[in-house]
Amino acid sequence: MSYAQSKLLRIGIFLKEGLVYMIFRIILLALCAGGILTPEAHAQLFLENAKVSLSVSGGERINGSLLIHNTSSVVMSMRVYWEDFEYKSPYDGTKNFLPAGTAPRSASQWVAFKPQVFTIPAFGQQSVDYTVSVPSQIEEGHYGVLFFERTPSPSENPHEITIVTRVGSLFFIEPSIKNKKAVIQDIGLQGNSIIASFVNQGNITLIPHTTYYIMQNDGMVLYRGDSKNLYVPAGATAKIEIPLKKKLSQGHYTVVLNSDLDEGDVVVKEIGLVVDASGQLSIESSKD
Amino acid sequence: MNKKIILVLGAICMLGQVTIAQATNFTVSASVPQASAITMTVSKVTVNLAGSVTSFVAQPAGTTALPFGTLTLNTATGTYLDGPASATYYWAIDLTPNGSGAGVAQPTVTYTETSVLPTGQTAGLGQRAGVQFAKVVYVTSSTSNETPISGQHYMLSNLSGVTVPYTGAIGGWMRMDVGLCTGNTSSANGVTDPTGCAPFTTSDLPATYSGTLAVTALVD
Repeated sequence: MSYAQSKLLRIGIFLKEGLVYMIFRIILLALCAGGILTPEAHAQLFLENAKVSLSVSGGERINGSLLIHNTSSVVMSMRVYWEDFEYKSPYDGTKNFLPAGTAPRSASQWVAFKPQVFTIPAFGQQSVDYTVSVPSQIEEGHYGVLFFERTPSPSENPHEITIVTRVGSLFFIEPSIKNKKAVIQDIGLQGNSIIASFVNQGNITLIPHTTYYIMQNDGMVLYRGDSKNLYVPAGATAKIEIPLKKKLSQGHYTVVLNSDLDEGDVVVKEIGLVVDASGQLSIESSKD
Repeated sequence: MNKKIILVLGAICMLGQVTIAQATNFTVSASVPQASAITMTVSKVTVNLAGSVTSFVAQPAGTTALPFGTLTLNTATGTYLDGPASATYYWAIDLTPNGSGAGVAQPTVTYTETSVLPTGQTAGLGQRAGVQFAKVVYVTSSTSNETPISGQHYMLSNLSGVTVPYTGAIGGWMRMDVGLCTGNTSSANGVTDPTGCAPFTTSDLPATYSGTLAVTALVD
């Protein structure tokens, strides 16, 4: 039932005469079976560079630019501003946004950008230049987001909701000498899944993509799979979950987890899995 | 003579092969950077007492205001609605992800109260209006079917970094229906107001109530 249909039902509450109410319900059911109009689409904001990843050394100065397009037929007033961000538990990519300079690993003091306020003509574009000035020492990754926000027109309408649209470019400013150290530990079973903890022991945010395969005792691979990317800040622990999609018969198996940390870095874990005659699973061993 | 010609042709062919064998392989590559974008259309949906959508009007490109206007008291229920009981409306916001490949920017939505509430008034527009995320499927160039996504029904003030549930709209596109709460508490009468939401009543103090709905698109 669509929102329109729901709303109509609510209006129906206010109807007092039963006959009118019945007619209302009949028409409503007809609407459920039908449809409503399709609007034409209008693209609006398109930021070419959604992510800026920089490997930097202490004292380095880096210049760059970001290009934003207005793909609509109206002039847009824009403002550009910086906010800090942190990936938050369960580290699936969702973020906390914080005022500039308030996150422990903020880069707000390092980044300058201009222009900060501008208008983009219809079907036009605007380049925003940025400069990253790294202090003499950088020991861990610093992060933030440069938001491009459309400034809504002021309105005198009562009881109004104003839509604010914004796109952003994530900045990952990390030392060129990275410590990409992580371990997979706390192996366990939860329902029909193998669970483990991915612990980031390094100095930058890690984005592991974990693939796995399950091997029989004779070396034959039963099946393979992968799990969604994790977004794990330095010092944080995220949960890996490997669903066992097929029912395993009695025997010994080896599950191999392979967390790809990019640039050739991987974390591997071998897990010994036992299935008894009753189908009960248990972890036999694990090794790196 | 013929033999000589054949030998010459053979030599040319062999030389040609040598030339081909010595050709350098060039790697052709291109990379498309991850993009972040928002594509949005706002439409005003009017429904009448007879139970029909009387109009579905796409607003001009760049529309950012969703006014509910001066509300009208329904004396039978003591609630204020966004029009006479014979014709009320809500706003439909169509959103499409417009990122790039695996890194599609999945928008999040956050509501913020912007009006200064009069002394003694605790609820703002965020507790008097709701949003229902819905999947819309194309039927014809002028018709589409809309299905609410289960569990994606919020009082506006509870929208804080809520991720637009695109997975629920696979095979169609995402729509956010934003409307005032009406006080329906019975599921027998259709979808109820989102949890915690209540309509404006005579107990609410006269004021202009407003807020912002921020739609943010970022890659992971």
